[in-house]
Amino acid sequence: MDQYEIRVTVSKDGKITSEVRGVEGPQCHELSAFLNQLGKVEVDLQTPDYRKQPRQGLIIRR
Amino acid sequence: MSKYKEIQTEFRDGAMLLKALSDLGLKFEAAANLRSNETVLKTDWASRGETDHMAAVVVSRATLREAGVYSYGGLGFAWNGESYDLIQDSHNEGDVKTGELLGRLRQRYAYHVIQTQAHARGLTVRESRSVNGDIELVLVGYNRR
Repeated sequence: MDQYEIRVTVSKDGKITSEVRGVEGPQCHELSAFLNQLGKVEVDLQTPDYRKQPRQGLIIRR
Repeated sequence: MSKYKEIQTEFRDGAMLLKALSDLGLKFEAAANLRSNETVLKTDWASRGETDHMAAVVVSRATLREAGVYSYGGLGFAWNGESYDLIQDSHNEGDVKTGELLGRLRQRYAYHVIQTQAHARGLTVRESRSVNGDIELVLVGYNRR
């Protein structure tokens, strides 16, 4: 199985930054969507990997 | 990397807020229903015509002072239907120590929400702390080929 990571930094003033790694294509959007409930999303960027065709099949629990 | 986000933490989950307050050693009063503003935040402003405020969660002025924060009227967290509004005396709004305390509270709150949500999704969590006080979390999941 392929491993993916969601790297999250919570600064000492409560600001959150996150990156999804090891995933290609738009599936990373669903993987990190749960972080949106933390507060106001100020930046939401798609990186070049987002536009690649996904080769993996993901297990996503709701 | 495929997705990058920046999020400003807001208090939306009452149970997680209470955990964060406990992490910081702050005693609090809370309504039985954390979405009901039934707890009184007492102020010192009655003599000036101000009234006490109602909130769902209250940290008293005495508790804040024990934590090293000179507070004029304590802290209240009032549910507004979507999140908790912070109630504090205007004199504390620019206060450095109050700001630092709230920052740490937001950090602990976010930490608990992320841990809970990660485990609910079957992710394993590795954590570390940077020298500047940031919490670094790596949530690891697996996909099948």
